[in-house]
Amino acid sequence: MRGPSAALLIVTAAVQLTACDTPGTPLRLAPYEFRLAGTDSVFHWPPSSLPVRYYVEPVGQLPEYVASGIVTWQQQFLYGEFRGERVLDSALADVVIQLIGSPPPDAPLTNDPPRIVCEGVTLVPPRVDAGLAKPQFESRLQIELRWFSGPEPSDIVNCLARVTTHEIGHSLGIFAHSADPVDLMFGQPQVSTPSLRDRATVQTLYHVPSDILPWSSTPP
Amino acid sequence: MRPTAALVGVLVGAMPAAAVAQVAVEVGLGALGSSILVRDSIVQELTVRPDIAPSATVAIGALLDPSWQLLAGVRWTRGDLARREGDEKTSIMTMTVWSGSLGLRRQLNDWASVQGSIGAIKYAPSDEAKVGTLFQEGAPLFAAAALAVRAERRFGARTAIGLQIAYDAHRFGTQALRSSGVTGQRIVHRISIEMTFRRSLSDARP
Repeated sequence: MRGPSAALLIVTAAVQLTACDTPGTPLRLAPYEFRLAGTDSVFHWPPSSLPVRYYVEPVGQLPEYVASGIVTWQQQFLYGEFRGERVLDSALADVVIQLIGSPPPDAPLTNDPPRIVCEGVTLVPPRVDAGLAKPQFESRLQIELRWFSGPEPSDIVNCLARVTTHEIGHSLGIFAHSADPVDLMFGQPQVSTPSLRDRATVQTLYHVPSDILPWSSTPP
Repeated sequence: MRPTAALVGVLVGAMPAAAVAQVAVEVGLGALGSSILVRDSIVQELTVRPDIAPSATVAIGALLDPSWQLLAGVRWTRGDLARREGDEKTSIMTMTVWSGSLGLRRQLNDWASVQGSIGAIKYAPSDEAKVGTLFQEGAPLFAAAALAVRAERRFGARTAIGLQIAYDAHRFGTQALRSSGVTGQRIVHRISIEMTFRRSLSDARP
């Protein structure tokens, strides 16, 4: 085989390689409400604030639940809209997570049916006018977790892991609950990973303009 | 014909000549631009495209006859992968892209040549950067086809410096995009311009 015939082979291969196959835009589920309750305000972390820094008290397996929750939510995106990381100094954190009460039992996570033996709350700080283009949160976001005594240890750790991921979802800016129990952002979460509707909701949230700026440790 | 079969055909056909050919080593430095990798719509349309990035190429060429040269090369680029949405542009990550090719160059006259090649392209985001992106479920190898034109000026019997404009195309899609409902693959077009330096390993004209 000499040059001209080899060149013909290359052209044939090139045509096959680049034959047209136009991709379609994916259909996404309709999002549930994510605006701050009682207002029309939307919050999400701007690109300049990424990665969002989470500090968690080093109690039991809580740091692992937080690390897993951050990655779980980050995986819901395709275009780098959100990134988070754990930090070891609370002074550097954008979000502080603490456990109220005694340390939880030391037990491995299981696939047992969910039991509501813990709870969490994300404290959204008030907004202030700091002379910026938009109102700004007055302080860091704060997440509080607590568990109830009595049930099996595995129920407690399963619940804490699940609720931690749910609360991290709030910290991304989903400031409301889904009405569907198959969604992680249902008021009392029954599942441990985001559903397709959770994914559609958080993706939508990060593609609408945010009305609120995050708190910043450095003055504007 | 499958691309791999074509590649094998070129290799086998060229071997007897290449075995006795003069060999030249080439390097190229320049810039590379790419068309969009993804077009999506979340609230509004968005696109993902690599920014124009520096590129470097290393290749080895073997003379088959006075007009034809067999080439094997590797190209490296590294630059920002950016999301564009409305008037806003946001960097997703800094990413390296490798491509390897095997092709033929036809010398048109003393200073001009054209080149065709086939090969593969590998997008190589770092493990830390790819979570939360279209590469989080992997970045496959894409078959590619390329064309190039080059103008050169010779300096002595062994050395030549030139300017090359190259075009390549490949299909693009990732598992993360498919998992999100994107069906099919997009044809991605890339154009590069490079200053080239070629050095023959013998005195014969490459």
